[in-house]
Amino acid sequence: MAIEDLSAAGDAALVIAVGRYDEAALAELYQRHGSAVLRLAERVLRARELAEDVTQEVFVRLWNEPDRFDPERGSLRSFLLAQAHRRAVDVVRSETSRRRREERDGRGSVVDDSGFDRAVWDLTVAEHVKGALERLPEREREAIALAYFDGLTYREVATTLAQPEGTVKSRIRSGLRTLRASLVDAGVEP
Amino acid sequence: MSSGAPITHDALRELLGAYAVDALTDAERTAVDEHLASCAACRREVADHLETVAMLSSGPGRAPAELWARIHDDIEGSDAPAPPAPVVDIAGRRQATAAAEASRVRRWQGVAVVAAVVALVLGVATAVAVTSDDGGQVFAGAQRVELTSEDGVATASLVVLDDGSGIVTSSNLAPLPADRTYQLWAIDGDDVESAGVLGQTPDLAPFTSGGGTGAFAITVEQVPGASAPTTDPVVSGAVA
Repeated sequence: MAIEDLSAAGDAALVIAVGRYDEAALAELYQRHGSAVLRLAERVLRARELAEDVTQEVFVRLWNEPDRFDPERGSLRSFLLAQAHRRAVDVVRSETSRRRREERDGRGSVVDDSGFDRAVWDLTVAEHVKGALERLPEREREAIALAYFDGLTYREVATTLAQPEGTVKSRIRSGLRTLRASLVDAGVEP
Repeated sequence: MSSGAPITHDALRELLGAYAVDALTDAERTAVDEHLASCAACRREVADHLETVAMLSSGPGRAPAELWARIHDDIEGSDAPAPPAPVVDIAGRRQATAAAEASRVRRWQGVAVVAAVVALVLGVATAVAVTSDDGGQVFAGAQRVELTSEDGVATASLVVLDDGSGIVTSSNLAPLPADRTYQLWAIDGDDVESAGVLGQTPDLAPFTSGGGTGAFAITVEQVPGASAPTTDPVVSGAVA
């Protein structure tokens, strides 16, 4: 039942193999997605060790509960990143780490005059996605960046940007839709 | 969120973007989770948003090897033991979704317990410890018991499990005529109890006895069997 060529197997097939306690399959999935998970966690947590902990959790959870992934619902990449993101945000919002971050950064988040931390963004975002992001209306881009990468609630984003909560909510939503349309057009997102 | 009035579908939809980027309060997240359980359209929208943000994370890059070592250590010891040769063909049970398949395979690990009993019939194992899929040990310390006649010519082998049930795995006992049957007796000190009728040929006959029986004997009885042995044992032996 072992997969002959792991590198040629699709993600869904590898998850099935993980369900049969195939550790080599998990290792292959880690090779494919571990870096993206780690970098996202690191971007949100701004702490390498914590990011490694979150990444470890995500892959150990995949080992223990592979049936949580349903390939009909979306890609494994988006599934793993969503898990990592939620966990990282939970850590960020715990009282202790918020205090630590504020001490280190001086404020809750770094917002330059373009509305988000561009330097870190450049390191985080894949090359082929940058064009789509550039084309996004600035207000939507900054709302998404603050929420997704800084782990703020939409209410905190609203406070940070001095905008109404409802406006922030709908900018996040419409921004994601616009981004998706742009990525689909560019052939990057299915 | 205001208490009292239930949240409208429109209001829930407005939250879906923020939900996908984990930008809701715990209470709002819970409300959306509950809604998603029953709304396919909203699930699809969330799935789209998740794919979109997944694109925002960098693609290529090396996953650090030291971190894999930690993951490996973490999952070490949670491997399933290799099940004995399966009776059930799991390949024939494959179905549509990966999720259903993975959980079905996991549930099948419990069926491996049944397979272990069958394996005993074939004389595969002498001492078998089999774990069910929740990690509990199901059968521990099955024992092989050799029964022989006084001159050592006639023999029979049993495998007995902790609960006293088992199977006659082999014997060289001659088949009996239709009006006779072999019968197995469980002997515990002075106590002799029937462990079951074995039929005209005892091989592969199952039996049940109380757990902890010290010795066994097989006699020949008239069909349909007796409440106490009426003849001398053909073969007997003690648990090692």
